[in-house]
Amino acid sequence: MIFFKKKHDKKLLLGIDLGTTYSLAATVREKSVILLLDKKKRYLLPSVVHYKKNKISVGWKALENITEDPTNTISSVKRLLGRSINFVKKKFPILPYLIEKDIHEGIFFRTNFGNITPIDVSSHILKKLKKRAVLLFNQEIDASVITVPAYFNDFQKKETKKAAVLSGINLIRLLNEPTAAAVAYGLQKLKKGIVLVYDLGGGTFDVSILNLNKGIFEVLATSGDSNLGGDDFDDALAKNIYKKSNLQNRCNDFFQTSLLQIAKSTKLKLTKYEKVEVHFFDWKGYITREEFNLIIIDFIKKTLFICSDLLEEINLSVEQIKEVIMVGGSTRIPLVHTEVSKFFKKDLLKSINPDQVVAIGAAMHVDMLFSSKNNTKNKVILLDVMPLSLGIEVMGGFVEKIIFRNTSLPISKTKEFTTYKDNQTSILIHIVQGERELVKDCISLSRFVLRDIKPQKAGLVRILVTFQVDTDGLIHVKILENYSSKEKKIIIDNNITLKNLNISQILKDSLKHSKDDYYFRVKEEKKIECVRTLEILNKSLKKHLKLISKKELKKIKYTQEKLQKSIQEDDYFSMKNNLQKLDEVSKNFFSLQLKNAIDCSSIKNILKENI
Amino acid sequence: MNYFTLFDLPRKFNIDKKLLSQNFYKLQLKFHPDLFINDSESKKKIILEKSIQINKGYKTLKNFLNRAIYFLCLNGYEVKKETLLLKNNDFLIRYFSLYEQLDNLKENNFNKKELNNLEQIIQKKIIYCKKKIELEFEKTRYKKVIKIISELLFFEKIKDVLKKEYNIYLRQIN
Repeated sequence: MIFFKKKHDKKLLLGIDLGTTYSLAATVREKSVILLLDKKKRYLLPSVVHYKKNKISVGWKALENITEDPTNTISSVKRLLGRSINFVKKKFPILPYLIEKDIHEGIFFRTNFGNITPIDVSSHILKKLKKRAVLLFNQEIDASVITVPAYFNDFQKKETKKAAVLSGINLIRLLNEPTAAAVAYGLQKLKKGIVLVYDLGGGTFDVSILNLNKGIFEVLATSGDSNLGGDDFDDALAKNIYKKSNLQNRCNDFFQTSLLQIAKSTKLKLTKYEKVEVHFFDWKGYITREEFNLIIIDFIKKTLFICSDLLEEINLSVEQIKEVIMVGGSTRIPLVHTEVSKFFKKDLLKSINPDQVVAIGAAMHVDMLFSSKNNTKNKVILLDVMPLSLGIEVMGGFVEKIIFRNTSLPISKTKEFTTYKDNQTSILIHIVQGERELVKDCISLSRFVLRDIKPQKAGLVRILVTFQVDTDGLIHVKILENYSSKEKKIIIDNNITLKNLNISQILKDSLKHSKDDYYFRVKEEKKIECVRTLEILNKSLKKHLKLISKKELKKIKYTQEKLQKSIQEDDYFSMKNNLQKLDEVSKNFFSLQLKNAIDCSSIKNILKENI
Repeated sequence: MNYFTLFDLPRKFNIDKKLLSQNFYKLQLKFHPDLFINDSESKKKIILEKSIQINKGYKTLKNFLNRAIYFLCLNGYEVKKETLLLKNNDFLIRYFSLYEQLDNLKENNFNKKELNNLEQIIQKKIIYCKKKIELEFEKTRYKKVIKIISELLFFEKIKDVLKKEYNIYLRQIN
């Protein structure tokens, strides 16, 4: 079989769209993009995996089992990837699978095949695509790019990467889906100008605004909702059919799944027809397009709110958008099309099949990555941004933003940390992602402790922590202690509690609650100041009691107690008042103490302390 | 290397923004990490650092305020946005008067005329501050620049709050 050993002069480079409902792969051959087909000439692979006792089936085959064996047939797993048990319970209360929580608050499915994580399911889908490629081209995959929703957080991206590693497809890069779509259109049709990508898929909504300029794709800003998509339309339609059919008390998994399947197919038919006949058990009825439009209009409005917020954020008007690119299967729905077109006041770009455009763009990108070196004239590069702000927890449960959203990647920022108490030997650093001011409202990415700090006076230690975000949007943390210049590298890993918020909610909440947050913040900061003042004063009093009269001491003690009480009562106004009073009554004591310190120490000592 | 040298711009506060963007793209086409995907790890690391420097520099010079603060720093005046905003006591008094206007607006369901009026007042002040900053930079009066920056920060903040409140209102009636 010499033929098989023949060395291929063309590398096998894959662009993979790992979608919520369907996945597909594409590659570039002789300057044109080829979609990878299966034996039956289908390019789509349903993102469904069926787990039998000793057998795993993926795609169309698995889809056949979805109504018969719903418990062991996992679909739309992308919505569960990188999510916590709490999130899943809240957002998807009626999933037909047996779901349990793992030790990190994540989830796994109990199937006939065994325990399976969302990463496993994703990797099984990827393996199936890999098989297609190897079969078609008779060579191993040299490199691949997988697309992810731009609005995926660090967890979701890293889980995708893990799935890629498990499936052995030589992943070299994650690419944001809207950016991939822009590449597909940009390289084929557009040359210059600002474009907006409206990407409404099965499970996620993404919007990105890009500036195209002679081979440079610069993402200006990106936003979205990692839990809004065609599946929501199905759910809403299913509820509607359920209500109309009056078939109650049949809430088993089989019933649920078939209802959802009927809703799905009705939705698809409604893109073509004005009126669709629906059979569901012994019920028969009609759903009109008008009826369907009423059911989904609120979801579409939500996507347009996200668009208008994003435009405002970067000071662009609708008129400045040259083209609007439509991506994702759900943009086939006529109402989505008309509403988006109305909002942007223009015809929409949809000449490339919305199911294929992301994979095509990914294939072009991976091809670019390998050919751009030899071809300096037609270089193409992507400048992407950070979708969510990165911050750390500071005292009082607040977030201090380190890297703001929509910052160009790669980027890094170094922050100095110090000790807050004398002889403190460790510092806790808590990294979060999100736009809100309070830690509890953001996504908690990592918590780590800096240990073995040399005991010193408070504030003397300097520890430099560098937060670096690479072109994939993944976060790395580097720590440099000023004295030892020991370098320690931490890569944020998915081994901590997952929080249950999605991003647009975070953004929206950030808008809605900014005032509450602000007031709360002011109060908390005052509280911290009070506690600190009390602490310092107590410490000094203990040491230098003899400096003041009994009468003065009594006055100070009295005011201290009053301040303590207002802290306990959480009363901002009285905290402010009493702190002011305490300052006044203790002023004399502090100046005496300072004088005493200067008298007692030589210049040398003072200089030393100030260093 | 300072950012002006990096982007091949004269070391002046007022810059040619078009030239900045052009040179930014040129640098990106030379140093973007994606162009070095087949290179050694050590080269990748150096390129990554360079790429980060380019992004940081562009972000700093592109934005008026960031550029002003950076230019001050180059001239030996280190200032921070956060502390500047807190320091200016005179402005707190005016802060309240403008805030009162904002509260009135909220009560009047954002009366179009009044909203435009307030927006214009703020916008005028912002433009005025920016012009003054440019002027003082030319005269190398850096201490004065710092003072005007704190004024500018203050107006930008009100502008932000107004925008946020108006958005909240719009969503409520929708």
